[in-house]
Amino acid sequence: MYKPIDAQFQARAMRTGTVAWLLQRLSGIFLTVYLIIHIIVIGNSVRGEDAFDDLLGIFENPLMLVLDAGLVGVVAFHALNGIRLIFFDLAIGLRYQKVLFWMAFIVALGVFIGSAVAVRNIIVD
Amino acid sequence: MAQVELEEKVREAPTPVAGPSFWPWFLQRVTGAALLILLTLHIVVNHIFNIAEVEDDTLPGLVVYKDVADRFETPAYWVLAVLLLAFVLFHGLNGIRNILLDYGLRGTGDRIVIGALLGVGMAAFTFGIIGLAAFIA
Repeated sequence: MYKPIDAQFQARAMRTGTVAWLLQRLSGIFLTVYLIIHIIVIGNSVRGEDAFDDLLGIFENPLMLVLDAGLVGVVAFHALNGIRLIFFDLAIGLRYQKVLFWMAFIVALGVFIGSAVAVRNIIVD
Repeated sequence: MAQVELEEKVREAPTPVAGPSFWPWFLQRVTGAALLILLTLHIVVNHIFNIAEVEDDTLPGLVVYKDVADRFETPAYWVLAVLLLAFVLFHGLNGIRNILLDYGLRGTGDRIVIGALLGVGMAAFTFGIIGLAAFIA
């Protein structure tokens, strides 16, 4: 996890491991920003039932619901790739790191597609 | 194969000791693994098991205040919510520090970042608890 400082500024070949590392960081930053917004939005409960439901109403349109499905997909990728990283710390599976990344990516893509189908069913309903 | 050698190196490396850099690393993994279960429950509970019947809901199946309030009558949902809030805040904010450490953050700068992230974390935790308590008030 800890790399030499100068290694950060060298041109790095975008091989599978680097892509996995970068996606884990980017999804982590994205999810942390989402988390803070999520806590603020849900904290709106202090203003009472009507104010809370009015605010959540903003997110009740098809575009937001599709973005919700995307969020679930990003969470799934971060979680599955996170399991991959825990295994590596335990010296398990490093030799399969590329195929494990693609497994995490494809399963996460499946979770996104499944969520998008669920969203479609809600909208069409 | 480079990865096979790396695996050997990781396996032969001394067991991490409980020093100052051990606990953030260890807790990042523990909270990460726990969040896998807690977040799955959170998403499934909120988007599949909605219990309130709201007549004027334009899109059925979405979360409304009453869903959460009804659910919070069961203490287990409170435990889930508070654990989620604490774990996800630690995991997210410690993750931000990990990224900064990768870019060479050390010493005084690190202490300032730790202080700032602790401040943000505790403020968000307090705000979150107040928000959750509002559902059972």
